[in-house]
Amino acid sequence: MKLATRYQRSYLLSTIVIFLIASTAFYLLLHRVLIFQMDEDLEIEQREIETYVSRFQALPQNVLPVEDQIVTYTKVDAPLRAPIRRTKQMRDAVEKEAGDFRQLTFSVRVKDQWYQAAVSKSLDATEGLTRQIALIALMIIALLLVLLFLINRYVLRRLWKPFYRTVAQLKAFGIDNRNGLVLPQVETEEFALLNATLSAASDKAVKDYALLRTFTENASHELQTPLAVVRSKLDLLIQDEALSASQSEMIANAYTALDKMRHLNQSLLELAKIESGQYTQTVQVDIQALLLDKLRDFDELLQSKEISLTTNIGGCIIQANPVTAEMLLDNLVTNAVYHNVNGGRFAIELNATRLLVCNTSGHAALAPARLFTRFGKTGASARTGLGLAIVKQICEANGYEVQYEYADNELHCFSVFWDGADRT
Amino acid sequence: MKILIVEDEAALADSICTYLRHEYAVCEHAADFPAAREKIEGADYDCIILDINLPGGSGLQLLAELKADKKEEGVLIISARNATDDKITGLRMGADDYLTKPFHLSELSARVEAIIRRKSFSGATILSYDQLHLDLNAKVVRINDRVVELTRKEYDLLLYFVSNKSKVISKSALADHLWEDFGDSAGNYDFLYTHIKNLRRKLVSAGAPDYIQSVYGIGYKLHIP
Repeated sequence: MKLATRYQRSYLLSTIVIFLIASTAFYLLLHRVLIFQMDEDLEIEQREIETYVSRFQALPQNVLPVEDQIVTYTKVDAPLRAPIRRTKQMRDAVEKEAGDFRQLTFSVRVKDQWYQAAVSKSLDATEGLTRQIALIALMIIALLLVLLFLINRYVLRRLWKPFYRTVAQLKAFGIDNRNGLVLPQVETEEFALLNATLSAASDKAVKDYALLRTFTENASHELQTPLAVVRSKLDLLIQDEALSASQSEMIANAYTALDKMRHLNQSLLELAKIESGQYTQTVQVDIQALLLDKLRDFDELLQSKEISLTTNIGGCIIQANPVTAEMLLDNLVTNAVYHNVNGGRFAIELNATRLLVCNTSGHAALAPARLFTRFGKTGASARTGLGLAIVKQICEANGYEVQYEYADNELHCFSVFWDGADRT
Repeated sequence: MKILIVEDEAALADSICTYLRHEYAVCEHAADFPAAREKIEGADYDCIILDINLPGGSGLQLLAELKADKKEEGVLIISARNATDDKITGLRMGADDYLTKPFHLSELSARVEAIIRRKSFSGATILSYDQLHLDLNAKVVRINDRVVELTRKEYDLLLYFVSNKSKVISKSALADHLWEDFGDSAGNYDFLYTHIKNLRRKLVSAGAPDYIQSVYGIGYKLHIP
């Protein structure tokens, strides 16, 4: 749940509770005050009656019934100890409607006869007043809540914008970027702190990574010379006519290992270069022509392994870097041919949407997770396992999407979608 | 024939000289920039094998100085750097060829020979070995006077052998020469055997002796049987 929503929820909840309590308290208080006021009025009536009685020694007679007021006298034997104040339902004399009345009951003595006098005043007005006040209060509360809700929603949303902008930039950031995060200036202190810290951290990460890459590149280059030395010594060694069979075999193995080393070094270098953005320039590249050329190179190999090749190669011209495009095709086709079995199948399809390369091989379905990682090899293999990592790197750098599928129970199929849409 | 090797890794320079000594009378070695400059200014060579990364300066600068002095030597750049840009720079500055480390000595030898051929007779057009005659311009092979029909790869293979005559050439070197970046399928030389077999068959059926000798476990060698 969003912070704003969380905040709003607890904020609203507590606000509503407080307002409810406050309004209830306010209502009750107001009611009490008005009743108290009413009681005071009743006491005035009481004194008027008592004054009248003490002056005229008779009960006052109402000539006309008064609206909202009822006075009754009842003969009693003994006086009340104290006046009684209460609210009761009574019927109004004039309007004949039942309503709440506030009644003050007290005792008066006229010529040795005790009377219980009850003065009642209608609470209509009072209640009407409190009702209206309560209504206004509630409306104000409702209005306040709505306003607060809207303000929270829109203001908070605007306030959080810098945060979301930063998050979006973070998402797009990869450590192989050549620059650190470029975060704008913001006014909010917390976000300014966040941005500053992130910028610094990303800058450092990018620098460290660049250093690491340079180191890798330099190391790779440095390796070439010792490799050359070893190779040259082997080349000289084999000139000796007196080599035994086992010696020859050992030398042959040494050559093989050297070849792998050289290829490995080369591939690592290529990967480093692709990652560091050396191949970012793009032009219009005719993939169809490149692919046909490449297939021609593999002609005799396909023939000697008796691999049946089916092609469906249409036009495909995309904005790409020519070097990495060739590397991509090279790796995919080389994989398909070298992993293939004698008498196996090899199918290629090319169009403006995608490139599809399928081949049979000695392996069962491959696990996609490890497939594109460096050195993720399947089973005993003479290959370095970097080919697909290079493919993946090129795709990432150019915005293509590469996928693996095991089809027809025997075909390993690799698809490269030029538009980069994820089709899983 | 004088060769100068400008390379700071002594073991490598040593290997190159040993291999080339067969063909070329003199093989000299300079291990750093000042020594190289001295040697270049002091004598004329037929071919200079130049490493770019030298202590004390860049090999490219030596190349620039060489060209500025209008010297006629052929230059073969050897470098660990494989980038196309580096290659283009080197060639544009006047180098005749560019070879990336690690290379096979047989490859180096073939290229040096090509450079010297181009320089000395302004491109000798016929390369001969016993009864074999390779017309380098027309890329045609003759046994005495008879034309032998060879595929492109078979021709390349034969030229490579002749350029390294009497040397044992490893399968690795042959495969590398015919197919770029063969390394990842190291150990599987089936198609190399096929090409060699076809080449031998064609030569023999054209009346030539079987020049290509197989050296057990290692590779092949051109020799007069």
